[in-house]
Amino acid sequence: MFDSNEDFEQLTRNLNIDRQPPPGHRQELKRQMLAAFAQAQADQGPACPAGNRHAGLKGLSLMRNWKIRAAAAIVLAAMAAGVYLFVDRGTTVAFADVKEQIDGATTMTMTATSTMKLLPRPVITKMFFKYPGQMRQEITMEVPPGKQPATQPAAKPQTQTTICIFDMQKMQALILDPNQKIAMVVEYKNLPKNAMEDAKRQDFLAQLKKAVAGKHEDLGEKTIAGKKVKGYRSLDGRMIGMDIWVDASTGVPVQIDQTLPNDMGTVTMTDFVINPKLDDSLFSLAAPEGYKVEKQSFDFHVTEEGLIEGMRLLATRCGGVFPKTLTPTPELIKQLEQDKKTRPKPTAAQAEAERKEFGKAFTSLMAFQVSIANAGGEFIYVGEGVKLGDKDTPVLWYKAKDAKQYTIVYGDLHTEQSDKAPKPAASTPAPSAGSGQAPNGASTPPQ
Amino acid sequence: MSMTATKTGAESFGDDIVVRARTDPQALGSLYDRYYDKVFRYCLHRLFVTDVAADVTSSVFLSVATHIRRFEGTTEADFRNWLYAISTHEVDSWIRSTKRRAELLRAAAMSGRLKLAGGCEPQPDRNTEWPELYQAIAKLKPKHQALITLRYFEGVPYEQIAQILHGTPAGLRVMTSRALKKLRKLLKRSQPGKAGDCHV
Repeated sequence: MFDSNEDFEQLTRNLNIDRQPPPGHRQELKRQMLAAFAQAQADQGPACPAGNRHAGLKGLSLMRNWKIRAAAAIVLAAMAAGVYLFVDRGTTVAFADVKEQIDGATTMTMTATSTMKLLPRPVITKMFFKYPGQMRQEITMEVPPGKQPATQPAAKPQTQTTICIFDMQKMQALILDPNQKIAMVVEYKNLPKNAMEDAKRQDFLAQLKKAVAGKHEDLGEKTIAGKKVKGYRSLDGRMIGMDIWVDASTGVPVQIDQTLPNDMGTVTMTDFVINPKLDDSLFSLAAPEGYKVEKQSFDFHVTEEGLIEGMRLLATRCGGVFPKTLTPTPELIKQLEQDKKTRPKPTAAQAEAERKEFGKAFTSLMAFQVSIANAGGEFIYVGEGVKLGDKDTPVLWYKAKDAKQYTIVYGDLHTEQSDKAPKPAASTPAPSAGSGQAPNGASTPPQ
Repeated sequence: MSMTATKTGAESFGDDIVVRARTDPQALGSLYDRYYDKVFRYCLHRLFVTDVAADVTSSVFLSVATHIRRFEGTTEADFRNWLYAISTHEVDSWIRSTKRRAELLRAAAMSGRLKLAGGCEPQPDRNTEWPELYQAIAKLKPKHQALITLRYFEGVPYEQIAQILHGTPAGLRVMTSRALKKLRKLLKRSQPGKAGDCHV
């Protein structure tokens, strides 16, 4: 027993509670957390059903320019986060109805309107889902005025549509460009071990089916398009940032609002139809007749050479200085766009070759980073502001899970092996080891 | 067991990380490394069972990963308070949703996890005293539970708790005294004739 506050304080100090978490929990949670973070950062690209950060990499190479890629990232951000319906079981008729509908849903369609800062106009994406794991996106964008053919009437902006079809069970994708009649068959090689599982987790309709027990915050009621709706905000870790509005009387989703990471913009999902009849041809992975077929493969076998080449190209495109982050944030995209303007305009063939070269290199760079982190190793980037060619300053270091030494990459892209990670400068983050222990103690929690 | 809230060199180093963590996974990973133990320990002190504490810790960090882009704090102290607030919310939610706190206590007691330490070696008939303490804490209001755990188990200063639980330091001190008074009553009720056991 205790008689005073001080007694109680002393008493609690002498408690001996087992403070060790379950073995492997720290490392596994870190992996999960970074994966959730990556999803929230809209790393997903439309050409990638893998459902993890690799997904965004695949998309980078497929898309025609950065803006389209960014638009696709919006759409996939919605996909990546999925939609949880935040059902209080039995508390309201509306959500009981929602649960019943979602449980029985095998198909669904909706429209996503993405508004982002990098784009002058919203991007409209019609989405079709078929459980389990099939998805079709029809992405429509206005062609910028300067890029429209002269024959087009000026008053009516031209649009271009890209169709992306994914099968998350087969891990295959087909990208269609109806304007140019091009079909790109996407093949994935050496996918990470968890890719299949991750892909299944990204199945939008599957997410809905799981969502009935999600935690939520009540947002009250309002009117959307003349309908009285009830709002719920997800408090579930994977679904943060999405507000769902359902018909107050039927529980059918009316609108879902998502705020994108990195202040990129917003996505509004509307026109939900549950269990529409969807023809199998919508999800066919065969190229339509009359289309020129191109094949694009994405090899996730990562090498240090790929990492180095990616770093070299990235720094070169950022004016000879390593950027703030290796993540394709809007800031980085803008920086790369600006760099393009400073260079002589390439021919169409040169631009295409350049695009492919950079896409491949950047994919390798990102895949390397993600593969190390996903496997429980360390990958630390500290290169912001370091000049390409600086032989004395580290820009990154990594250590695979079971490796004995760190590999340190310097500004001139030579590598060195070391038993210890470099000590970070005061303004850089501490190394984050998979074990949670910083080798140099820099990230040890303050006592 | 305690956590200081003083501004240190390490903390200002962490301020930079907090800002970067909104967009940089490496910075977020660093914050995770710094705070995993603290969050897990806090959850364990409130929930008693390792596996449950681990599950709730997972919820906390997954929530952080997806919320952090909206986090407006700029210092490590801001982040720490935010993290404890999320942890408190997750713990409370878990308790509310499962209503199995009594089961937790039984599980903790049966596993021998709750026992005396230091110079006060547990006696067979005394092992139950600590579950009784936790049972008594569990009977407090959730806010009082969080307050007691933060203050006495985690060593968080009142000024910081005020930000986590949305109160004033003075008000929380009063609330603490009331909570401890209630705790004493609950313990006396559960331990008739046992006053003055293993004092520290």
